[in-house]
Amino acid sequence: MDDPDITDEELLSARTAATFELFYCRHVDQMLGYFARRTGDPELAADLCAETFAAALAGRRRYRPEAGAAAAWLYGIGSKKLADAQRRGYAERRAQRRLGMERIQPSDEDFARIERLGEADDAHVQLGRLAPDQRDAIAAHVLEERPYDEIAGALGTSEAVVRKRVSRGLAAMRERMGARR
Amino acid sequence: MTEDFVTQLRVQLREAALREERRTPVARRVVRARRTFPGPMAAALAVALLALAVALGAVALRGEPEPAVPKLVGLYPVADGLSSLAPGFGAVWTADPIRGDVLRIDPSSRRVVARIAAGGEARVAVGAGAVWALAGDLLYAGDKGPVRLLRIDPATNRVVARIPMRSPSGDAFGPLDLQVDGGDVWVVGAAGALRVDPRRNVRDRFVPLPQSRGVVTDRDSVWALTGGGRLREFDALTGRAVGDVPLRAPADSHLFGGGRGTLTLIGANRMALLERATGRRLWRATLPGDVRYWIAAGDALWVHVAREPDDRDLLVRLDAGTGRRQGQVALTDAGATGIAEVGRDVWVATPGGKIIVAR
Repeated sequence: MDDPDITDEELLSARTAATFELFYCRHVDQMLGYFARRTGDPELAADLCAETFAAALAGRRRYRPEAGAAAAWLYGIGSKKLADAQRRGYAERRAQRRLGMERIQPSDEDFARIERLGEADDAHVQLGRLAPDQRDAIAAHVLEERPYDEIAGALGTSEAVVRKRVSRGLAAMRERMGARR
Repeated sequence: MTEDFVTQLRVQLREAALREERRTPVARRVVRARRTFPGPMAAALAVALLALAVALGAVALRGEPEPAVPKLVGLYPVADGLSSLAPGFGAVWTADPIRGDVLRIDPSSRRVVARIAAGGEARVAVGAGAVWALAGDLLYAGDKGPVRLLRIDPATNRVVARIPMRSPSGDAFGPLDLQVDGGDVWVVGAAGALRVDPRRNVRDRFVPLPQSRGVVTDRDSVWALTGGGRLREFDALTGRAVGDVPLRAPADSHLFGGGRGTLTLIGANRMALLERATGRRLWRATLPGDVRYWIAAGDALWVHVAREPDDRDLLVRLDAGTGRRQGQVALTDAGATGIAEVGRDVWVATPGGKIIVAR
């Protein structure tokens, strides 16, 4: 299970299959949305996403936390793959072939989901990355439209604490979304 | 159910990472050997390895390899009971009918990582951007207990919509089964099929189908096997019948979905694949027990066959193109309530709350 206290940098530096899988789970939706927005083509976005994560897996030994955030490193790989694909007209599969990975043919449903990720302002994705107390407070108040006092009662805490969690969580989401654009 | 892109990629990456982990010490030894051996010896070693590789390659190229014999690779207790199984969003989803929860299972550890209260027995499906659970008193089919379709957001593991299961005119229709295919969500009941619009989370269209022996839905059509043994196709938009062909189907046969463009007819120990457009039978197979669940996985169909009380249940692999039996494995626990393809494995959920993993 994903532990929010473990940073992306720690996951990538641990260099085990399990930690890379967690790193993938944290970022796959964002990468799909990123590629979908920039290509307007869900199939190409899926191919680029697969190749980016394969390249990240193959090259994770070269990642150095002191050089920057792991997410930024991943986006760096992704942007190079995107530029290559725009030049060639298709996404290369070099890293996937090297790792013995087969091409995955996305279904119509996958295409629809990737398009939605591209259309979304990734608020949803960012919500999933928040600390659990902030995420739960935002989900309860913003998505389920429950009042602060009711949420506080359910969580056994004060209304002020819930307000703070919502406020800080939204601020963190805004910062992360703004920082990437 | 087959897996979505995100789950398939996750499984491929995990397997690639594990291969890399295993490969690393060997690669190190090869590099070390290259440094240790003098030039001529290294060349001789390289020639020998090349000869071995050519010989192995020749063996591999002799013909299409036979699929490996199915085997059990694990048994994992996850709850006191389980019903239905659906992979998606990097997880496998099932339901615990004893506690009335939907369960999120991590496909790597096979552990329950989240429980979502469903308020009763539930059937789960994944698609149209969400996890769906048909939940409530399904035994009484909506007439005596409230049945709701729950929309679960996989990012937060929270129920974000609860849709009452009544036909648009407000009638109970006995909801029992959930079919999510592509962007469409259908709930099939004793009296008909109800389509739900996943963009607005509202009931959208109802096709009355009384006394059917199985209903299969997709974006454009609804197929039903009538009590009289006819395969009828209905327009999903208007509910109008647009096709009607007789089927040579024994009275105990029921209709189920198939792969793209096909339907499956199942009766006791028989299974047949039909062409959707014409009802033409593509193949027929006889199984060594009663067919309970099946799943299409690549070129194969994996079929759960019940032989209780006298013998152990089987998981049988058929060639999807011909129906030919390719192998089988005896299961350690009796019964099945769901089956799913997860990576290169097949998972079977048992009524006793265990997940059996076969490959």
